[in-house]
Amino acid sequence: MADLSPVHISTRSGDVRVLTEEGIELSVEGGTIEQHDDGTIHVRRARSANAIEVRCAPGTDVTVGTMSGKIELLGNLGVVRVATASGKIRVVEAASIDVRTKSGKIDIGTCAGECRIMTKSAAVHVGSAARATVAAISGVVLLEQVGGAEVKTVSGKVLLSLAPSAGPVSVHTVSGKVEVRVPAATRPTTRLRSISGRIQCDCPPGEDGEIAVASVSGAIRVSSD
Amino acid sequence: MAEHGAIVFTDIVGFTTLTDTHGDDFALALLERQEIMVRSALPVAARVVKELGDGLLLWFDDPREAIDTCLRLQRDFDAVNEAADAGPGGEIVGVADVPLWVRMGVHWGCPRRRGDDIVGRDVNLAARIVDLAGPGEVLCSEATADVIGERAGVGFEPLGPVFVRGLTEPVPIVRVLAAGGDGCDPESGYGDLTDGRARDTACR
Repeated sequence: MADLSPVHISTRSGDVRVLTEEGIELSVEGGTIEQHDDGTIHVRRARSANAIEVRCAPGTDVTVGTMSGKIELLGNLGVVRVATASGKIRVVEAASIDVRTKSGKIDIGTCAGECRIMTKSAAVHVGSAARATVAAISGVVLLEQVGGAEVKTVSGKVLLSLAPSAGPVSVHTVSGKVEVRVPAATRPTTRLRSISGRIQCDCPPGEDGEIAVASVSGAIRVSSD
Repeated sequence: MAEHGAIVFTDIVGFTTLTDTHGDDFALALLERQEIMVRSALPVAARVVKELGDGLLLWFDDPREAIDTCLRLQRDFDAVNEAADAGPGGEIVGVADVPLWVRMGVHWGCPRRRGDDIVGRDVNLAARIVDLAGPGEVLCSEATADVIGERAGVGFEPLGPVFVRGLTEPVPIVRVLAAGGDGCDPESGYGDLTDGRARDTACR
């Protein structure tokens, strides 16, 4: 049976790349491995290396802590947690995700569970997630095929496409524009409020999920595919 | 003189943008709103050490009171923001019309006193922890979670070791959750943190 010990990768700088392969033993290039008593495996970048590459079994929980550098988590992972300050972050597929960064670009492919993203100014893209929780000061937030969402931005634009039978959606912005798209023939319950922004809802009212959007000055639009 | 306690930083999310958009008087009103809510929530054995731009530096003698107060404050901020959502549209009348999103970082440590101020590595670490939090969140160091242990109404979700500016070694960070709240599993408690406790709770 494949080793699914959680992997913690720490490096102040340098790129981090994680790949998954069926039946593989954990292997590391450019880093040192240390097994802790709690069963976690800690990987640190070797002094001579400028990048870490980890190969592990699908479903492995991976935590990455860096200050800068590109982070690519490829393959199908378990619980993913990333904390960094800047640099591009890409997660192809995971059971759940927690990403925290100040700036850069965050690109999430598929998240089977909760996808939580906290950033100051990074551009955010989520391909699909059971539920997305995103907080940003600025930067565009693009969420596609989400089954529910809670978004808070100050000035960033929010574009959100809901999956069929999506759960509650809550979006709060100060000045960012908000566009929510629902699947065709969906009749959501909407609660839309903007103090000075324009509000437009092209969907007939109904009880197909709840969409609440509040902004101070950002325009709000809810439409269907 | 040094003594153990919980160091808490609060920070208003988006303060710079809000100030730029709505002006300095608005910013002052926002700061006052935060401070009134925080001061009214503080237990006896806690104090506001100082104001720091859009945040506050707080000191608690008891880490459990620190965490309880932070979670309670976040609920209070949520209530205020829900009330803002329910208000009428039209012109922005005041700070009550905009959300007050506050994030918080907590570290149990042993700073040095300098008059009423506190300084040292543990204060710097608490300041870095709040940088990682999102609006409405409370994050703490593993050392804080360790010293609190299991506590009714509180859950901890480890976020792993994190590099923060100014510190050479990665610091294990934990997300604090109100039990029964978002993603909190009250059964999970908190794992074995004896290494972190030995490292981070000794006054140096």
